[in-house]
Amino acid sequence: MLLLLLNSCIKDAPKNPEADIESFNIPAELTTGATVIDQANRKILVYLTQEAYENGISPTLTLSKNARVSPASGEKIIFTPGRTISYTVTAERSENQKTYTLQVVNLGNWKFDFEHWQQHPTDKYEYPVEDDMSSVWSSGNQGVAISGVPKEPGAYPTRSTTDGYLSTKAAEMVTIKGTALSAFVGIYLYAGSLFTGNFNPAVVLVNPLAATEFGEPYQGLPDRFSGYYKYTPGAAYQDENQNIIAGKTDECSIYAVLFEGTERLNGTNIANSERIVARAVLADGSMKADFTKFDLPFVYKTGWTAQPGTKLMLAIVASSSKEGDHYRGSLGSRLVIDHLSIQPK
Amino acid sequence: MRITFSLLLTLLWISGYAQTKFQHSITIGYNIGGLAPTSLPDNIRKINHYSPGFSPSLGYELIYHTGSKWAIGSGLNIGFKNMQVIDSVQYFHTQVSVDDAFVEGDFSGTNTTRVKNLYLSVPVYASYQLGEAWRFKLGVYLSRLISPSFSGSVSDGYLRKGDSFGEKITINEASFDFSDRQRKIDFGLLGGAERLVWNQLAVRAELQWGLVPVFPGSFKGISFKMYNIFANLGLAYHF
Repeated sequence: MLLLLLNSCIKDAPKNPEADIESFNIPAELTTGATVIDQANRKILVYLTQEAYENGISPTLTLSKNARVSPASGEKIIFTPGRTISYTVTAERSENQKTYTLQVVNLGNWKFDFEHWQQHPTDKYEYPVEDDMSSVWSSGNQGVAISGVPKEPGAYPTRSTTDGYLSTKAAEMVTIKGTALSAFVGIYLYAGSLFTGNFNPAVVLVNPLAATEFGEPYQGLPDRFSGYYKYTPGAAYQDENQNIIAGKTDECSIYAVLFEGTERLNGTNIANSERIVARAVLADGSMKADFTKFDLPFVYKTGWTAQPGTKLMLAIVASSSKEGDHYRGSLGSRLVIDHLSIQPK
Repeated sequence: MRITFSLLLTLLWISGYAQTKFQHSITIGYNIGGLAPTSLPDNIRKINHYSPGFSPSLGYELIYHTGSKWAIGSGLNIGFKNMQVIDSVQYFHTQVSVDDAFVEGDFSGTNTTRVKNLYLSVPVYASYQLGEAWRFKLGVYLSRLISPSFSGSVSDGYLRKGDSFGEKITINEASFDFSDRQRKIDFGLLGGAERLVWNQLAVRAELQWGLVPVFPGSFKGISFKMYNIFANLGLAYHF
C-alpha cells in the first residue's frame, strides 16, 4: 500500500543524457585488429588492411538509446591524408554532444621514442602518442583516475619524464600508494604500467585484470625486442594486503608477446593464452642506476609457422613492479623506458 | 544537551510548585517515515522496497494548562528514525569521498539505503482540548543526533565517471557509508492528535517534519536535499 503510494510520486523519466558510440563495426576482413573505442579520450581507433584504407569504409554504429550521430551510421568514409574525421553524437537530451575522433592506426615501424604526450582533459593523466598523434600505448592511469587521485600528471603512476636516454623525453613508471578510496576495495598500491593496447574502464571494478587489453596488430614476424631502461626498486616490498615482506626486493618487468588473432589478450590470459606464439622477456628485473640497453630475441613456440592469412598482434608490456597487476610491489619503485623498437625478421 | 536538562529540571520544579495546572505524560511509539526529499526527483525511477525497520520511541512530556482548553507542553524524547529503501535510479549524481580521494559521477542501477538514526528531541508545542477525549497539538522540535547510521550500496548498474559524458564503469556492488556526514542537529515542525481511550491512556499520532536538510550543503553524495519526515504512532499515559 505504502509502496503504491510512494510509486505514485514517481515522475516522468528524464531524457537520456548519454551520448556514447557503443560500437563501431567494420567487416572483419577489412581489419587487422579489433576496433577500439577509447571512451575516456573520445577516440575510435581502427586497424585497417591497406585495401580498406585505400577504398574507404562504411562503418555501422550503435549509440546510446535515442542518440543521433553525424556522419550517420553506414555512411561511407574516405581517408585523405591530413584530414581529421570525427563523429558527433547528440544525446536525446540534445544539449549533450560528444565528439569522437577517428584514428587509423598504422604501425609500419615499431619504434617508440616517447617524445609526444597528451593529457586527459579533466583527469590530467598523460599518455604517449605517435608522431601522427595516434594512440598505440595505454596505461593503468585510467583506472587510477577512478580512485580519485589529485588531478595532475605527477599524481599518476605512469607519466612522461625529461630524464630520458640522451636527455630526451621518456616514459616513467612509479609504483605509488593507493588512495583512501582504493583502500576501500582492498587496493593499497598502484604500479606504473605501459602497454601497447587499450584500457577498458567498464570492467575495472568488476574484473581489474581484464581492463588491460594488450596488443596491436603486427605485420610480418618480429625477431628482436630492444630498448633502454633504468630501474630503482622502492624500499619495502609489500603484498596485496599491505604486509611488508622482509628481504624481498621489487623487480621491474619488460616483455613482448606475439599472439594470433585480432582480439586482444588481457591481464587474465597474457601469461598463458593458447594463442601466444612467441615471447621476448627481460630476465633481469633488478636495479639499473643508469640507462641500460636490452636486446631480446623472440623465442617462438616450437613447431609454429605462420600460415598464409594468419593475423597477429604484438603486445609490449612494462611495469615498475613485476607483480603490480596483483597490487604487490614496493612504493617508489621507478622504471624509465626509452627508444623501444621491434626488429622484424 | 545541558540546556535540555536544565529546561526539563525547571519544568519539573514548576510542576512541583503548582501541581494542579500540570500534567505529566509518558509516551511510547513507533516511527514510520523516511529520510526523504520533499518531492521525488526524476532520477528515482521505481521504489522496489520500503520498510520502516524497528523504530521505537520513548518520551516524557510535561503539559501546563493555561486555561480550560489550551495548554503548552515540552519534554524529552528518544527515538529511532529508521528506514530501509531499495530503489531504481537513473543518472543519479553522486560523489563519494574518503579523506582527500574522491570520485564523482552519475549512477544508474539499484540503490539500497539503510538509515538507523537515534535522535534525542525536545518538543515544544501548544495543545487544544476538544471535548473530553480529543486533544490536538502543534509545535516545533529540536533534535540531537546521538547515534548516526546512514549506509547502503549501489549495485547492478554503472557509473558514468564525472557526469553523463564520462566513461561507463560497470558496478556489481559498491557500498557507501555517509553516517558521519549527517548534521548533528535537526529542527522541524510537529503536529498531532490524541484520543483518550481508557482512563488516563490515550492513543496518539504525531507528524514530525524536519526543516533542516539532514546532509549539509557541502555534502555531494546525494544530489537532492533530504529531510526527516516521520509519523509517530503510539500511546500516551497521563498522570
